[in-house]
Amino acid sequence: MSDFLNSDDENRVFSVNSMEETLSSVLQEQAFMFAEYEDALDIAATPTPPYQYARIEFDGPCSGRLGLVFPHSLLHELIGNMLGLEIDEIEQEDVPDALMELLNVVCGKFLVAAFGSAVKFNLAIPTVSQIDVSDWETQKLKPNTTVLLVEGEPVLFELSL
Amino acid sequence: MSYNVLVVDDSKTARMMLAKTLRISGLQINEVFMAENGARALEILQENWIDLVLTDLHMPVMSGMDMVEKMAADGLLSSLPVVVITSDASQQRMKELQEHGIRDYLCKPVRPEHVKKTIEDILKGTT
Repeated sequence: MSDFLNSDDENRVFSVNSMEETLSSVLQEQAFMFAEYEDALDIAATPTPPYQYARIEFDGPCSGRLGLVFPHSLLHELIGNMLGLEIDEIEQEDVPDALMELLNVVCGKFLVAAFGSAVKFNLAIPTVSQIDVSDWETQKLKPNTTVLLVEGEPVLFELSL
Repeated sequence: MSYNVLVVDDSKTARMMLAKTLRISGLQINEVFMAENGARALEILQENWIDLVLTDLHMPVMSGMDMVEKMAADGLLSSLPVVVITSDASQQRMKELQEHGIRDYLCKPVRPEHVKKTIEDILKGTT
């Protein structure tokens, strides 16, 4: 781990802030969507399942993993905006591909924001899987998980360093 | 002057987003060709007049770097400018790319103004 931070708590706060800013900026630029941070415990309503869980691992001066969990209700608007398609033009096979591309971009930007451009990381190929409501509830309460509201819908992001 | 651009990426999302970015960039684009890997890109390059290639690096079948090496060994394709589109913006990676003859790189997410300036600089001979 780099020595630019003094404690695990500071590290976590710094990384979460970088990740939040990165995700917000990528969603805004690529999908014209706005995100804001929310405390997980303040999110009373669980969005309708299923959910898509996209993950990417990275390796360099430190290794880690980024994950994003999107409720299905948000996906078509997200992907339609990314691709410039109407919602009824989106094919099912577009969903994992778009999430993998989004995560790839978010991870690359996050690593530069957190560690600077002088540091080289290798990014693995992202993976996407569908999870159910019990997985969502479990994931939401994990200490390495933060909740963002994207267009009013909760999205989970996981950061392990 | 309008340009034919070849976009090479294994992600359909990335190809479509880059094509959209090219179209709204203000560049005079004649046609955007698309390939899902380096091997398919080489086929398209043999069959069509292309002004510039925008490519991802990590792709199945044939990577972006392998494609660039094959282009360098081909008399007709060796001078064709290649720009890498990447999520990895580390300075070390960029130095490696330039050592392999890559003309320039653009970091994702690619903005219309950046792609316009990069392509114009290369095709007008300022880069």
